[in-house]
Amino acid sequence: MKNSILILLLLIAGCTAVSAQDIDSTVNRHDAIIEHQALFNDVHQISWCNPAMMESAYSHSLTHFYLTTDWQKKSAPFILQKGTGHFFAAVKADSYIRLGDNTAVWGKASYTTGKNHDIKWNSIADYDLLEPDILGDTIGGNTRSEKYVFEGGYSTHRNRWHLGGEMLFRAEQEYRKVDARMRSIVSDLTLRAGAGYDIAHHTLGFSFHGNIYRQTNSVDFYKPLGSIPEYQLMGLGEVYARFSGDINDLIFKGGGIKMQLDLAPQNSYSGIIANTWVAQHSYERVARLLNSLPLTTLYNKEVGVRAGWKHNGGLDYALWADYQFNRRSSDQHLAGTSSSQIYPVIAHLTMYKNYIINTSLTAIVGRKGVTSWWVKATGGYSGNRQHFVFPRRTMKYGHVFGLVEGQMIVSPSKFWTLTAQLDGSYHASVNDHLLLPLANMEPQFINMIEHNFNVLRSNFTHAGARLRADYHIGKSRYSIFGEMQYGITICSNHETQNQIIFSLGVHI
Amino acid sequence: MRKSFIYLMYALTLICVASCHDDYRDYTTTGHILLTLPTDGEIETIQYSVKMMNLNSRNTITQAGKTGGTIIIENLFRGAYSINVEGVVRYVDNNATTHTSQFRAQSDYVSMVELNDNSISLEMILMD
Amino acid sequence: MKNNKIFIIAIFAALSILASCNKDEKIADAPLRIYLQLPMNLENANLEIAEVTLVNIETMARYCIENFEQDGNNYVATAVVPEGRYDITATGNISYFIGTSATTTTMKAESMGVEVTNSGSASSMVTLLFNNYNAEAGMVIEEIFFTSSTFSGTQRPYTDDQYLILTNNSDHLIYADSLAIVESKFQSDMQWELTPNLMKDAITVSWLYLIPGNGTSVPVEAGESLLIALNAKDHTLINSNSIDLSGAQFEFYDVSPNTEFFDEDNPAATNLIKWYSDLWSYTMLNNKGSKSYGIVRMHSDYDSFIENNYYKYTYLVNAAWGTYESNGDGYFIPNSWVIDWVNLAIKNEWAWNVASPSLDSGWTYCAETSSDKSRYGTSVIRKRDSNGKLIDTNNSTVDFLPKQKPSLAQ
Repeated sequence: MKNSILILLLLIAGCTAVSAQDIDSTVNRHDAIIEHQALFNDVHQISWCNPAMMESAYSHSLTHFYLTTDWQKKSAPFILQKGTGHFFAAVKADSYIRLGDNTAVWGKASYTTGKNHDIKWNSIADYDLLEPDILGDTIGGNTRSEKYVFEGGYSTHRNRWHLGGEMLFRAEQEYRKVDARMRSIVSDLTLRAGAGYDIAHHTLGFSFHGNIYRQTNSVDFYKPLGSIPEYQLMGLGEVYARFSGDINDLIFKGGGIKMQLDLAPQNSYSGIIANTWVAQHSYERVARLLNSLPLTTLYNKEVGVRAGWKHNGGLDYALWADYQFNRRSSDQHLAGTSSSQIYPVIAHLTMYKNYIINTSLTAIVGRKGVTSWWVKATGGYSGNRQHFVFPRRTMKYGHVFGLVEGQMIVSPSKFWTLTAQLDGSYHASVNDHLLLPLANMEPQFINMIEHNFNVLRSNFTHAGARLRADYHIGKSRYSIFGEMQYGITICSNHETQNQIIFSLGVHI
Repeated sequence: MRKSFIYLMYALTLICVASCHDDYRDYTTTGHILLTLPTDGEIETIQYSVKMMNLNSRNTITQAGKTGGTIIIENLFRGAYSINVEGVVRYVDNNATTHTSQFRAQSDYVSMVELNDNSISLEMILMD
Repeated sequence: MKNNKIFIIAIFAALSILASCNKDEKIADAPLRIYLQLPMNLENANLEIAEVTLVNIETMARYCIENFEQDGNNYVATAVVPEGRYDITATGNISYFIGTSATTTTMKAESMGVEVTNSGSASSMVTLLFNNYNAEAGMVIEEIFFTSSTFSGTQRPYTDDQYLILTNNSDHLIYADSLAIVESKFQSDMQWELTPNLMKDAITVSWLYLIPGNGTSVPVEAGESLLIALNAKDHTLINSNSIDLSGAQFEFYDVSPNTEFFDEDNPAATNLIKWYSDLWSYTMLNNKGSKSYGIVRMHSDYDSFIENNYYKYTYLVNAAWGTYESNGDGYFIPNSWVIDWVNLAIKNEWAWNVASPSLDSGWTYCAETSSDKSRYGTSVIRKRDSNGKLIDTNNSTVDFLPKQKPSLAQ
């Protein structure tokens, strides 16, 4: 896998060098950086999920090769299952290359390795994707992780039509070298196909996304008397008790589809921004030791809308509203009586339901030039409600939030481009509620849920800064850059998270 | 071309709608437990306490009462259960003698997943 | 036009926020009708005192109900509690008759996960049936070493090193004072037709020894054990083939009227309190295993017990010259007082169980026959499940490992 990623990195480098020489050799590197780094790109982030819309995303090619480190440390875990922080080091390449006036290709490749610290109640990878249907134990510990990502897309424009395709692939393994020795191996493939049609200085787009996901997971104990139960968690501290304990070989398999409609003004035109999408993904948890008995299936249905207005002129500005609703639910597959470790599934019940809502209003204003600047402000509400049917368990929390972000990109000399970005946000808790069947729960489960809840319902204050310096080497096509990001998040229960990211690389 | 695009969108929307998953919301059912005598005789009344443990979740429910022979458990969460019944049965044997006896009845596995009729029969073990 | 767009967007966002806010629901009170039933096999049963505790599963709030009114065969009360799910436990003092003797016992009942809702006219209800079984996890007999050892190098029994181990098999602290250790009056190798026969309601004992204390003097943590020795000393000093019982917490001690047979008092172990014994000298366990043993929670003081629980019976004896009637006496203990019971037998001479099947539907053994000398130095030991819990199904045939090496043997 490491060889593959090296070959891919070299391939991207080769393609970029050739294309840059042939097609884009006169590009102003300063302009390219402004175009690719601009905060104003947030206006189009959703539209660009449609690969057909990527052809018109940038007018300049730009390819980065860089090394990056990401260090994060919390004073205490915000979510026990995610641990107290991490340290990752990665080698990455990402590239956007214009092949003539009507075609663009883009790609990413990366290899990341590192460590997650003090994870508890989680013996699988991809917690955010698969929770609450996870395997977990009370010991936990650090985990090591290796991740490979490949991504490639093609987009072309013929007359009024845009067509595009994209492939994203992630392979990851996460493991622990001491008891409890969890090991998860993930493969995650997404294919996207999109089309667009130019109409009244806008592009109307439609895209279809398909995903296939698989994670094999096992937990071993080497100490002869050291094994502890691995719980098949099902949400809010409920466990599939019958298959908790030593059923430690699992497969999570699934995937799903997403459809998206986009309306975006063409470059240099003002107009309506509108995106809407629906998606459904499902992930089945299967016990390999029990002849592939399905234990649970998690469904994630998502609907989202963005609507707004973008103005292009001397002063660029945009205003839009976002609304996103996720309905996550989990079916428990009820096992009957076994015959030679073969359990029939006798019924299904939807036991866990989770409703997530995010709605916000965003305004951005700025100007592109020798000194480019943008200011963005967002205000909104985010809410999360979880419910386990029986025994009844409920958790909900909601925040109103405000976020301000500012960016400035300057070129003090023809050799330098400097980018500075600051952001600050505040999430104020406006409602919270926790209901658990306390009398029937073991204390460690109560502690786990209450710990997470106490953080989730807190007020959060965040401040961050990002500084980047690009040095353009003489008359060559190459620039080197260094970047540092720092973020601090403080929650009202006095826990703190610090994060520092360093990146160093070249771009063409 | 434009028509093809619309047809494609239409087809993909249909795929999406067809693939939508509905929740399984039929959570509860009614269980009927018929208690039978191990000997010939006619049951007059049974005073029972039944404990049912859901094998998948380990949740336990209990119910007590009197019956002529069938215990009806309403609002029972659908699933696989083990059942233990204890109590006292009053019955008349073939010689018209009335007996009052403590009993137990149990089953390690019963399926209570049907939406309407979940009937099982358990033979009592008389303990006097 | 532009202003209109902004307005529509703003309305859209505001509506979304409002839609996502849920008002906290106020939990209303609701009535719960509670019916208490007494087992219908108890004669002339009356509920003297009852206490029902409702624990809200979600808030852990506790509600106590004590005032019950008799309504036919039921005792009824209405509790008004916040809507929700409750675990309900009831404790009642119940008086009834065993034969002609009045007795009182404490019985328990429970119902888990009872839903209390305020659904219109029909109020929620729950029925609780008091039971006189004690099958739930609690104090159990883990081991009985009744056969005793032999003198080293011989098959001559060394009878002083018998012992019992009682273990707290629950998940919580249990106070062992006021628990009594009893031996059955009747033998499993000799079946008698008794008149009156109380066996379905009571056991009859040949001796009864109480663990002393004031109610909280002898705490036994979950999983811990009490060693009760016939003679709490290091027997290996006298007989290398024997067992060191100097660590026993309690011992049987009798002031024997028979000067030929006197007991030895070891001050390091607390003496059990002798309430009753029909033995003439000092107490021993039946070393063939034809008598059975149990743990009993006494619901009576000594004087009341002696006064109320005396049991006189007749039985038929089949002799060579014919069948004749004989009589005997002893003290009975209601089955509902029995915490744990272990039927013992001589394997090939088992005739009957001397307690109701509700206490123990099986039996265990060390001796194959009454003259089996291989029984010496063996013990009956309760099995454990995969979680380390002692198995207690009230069936000693499946709960015990027969004829085992004693756990305290070197």
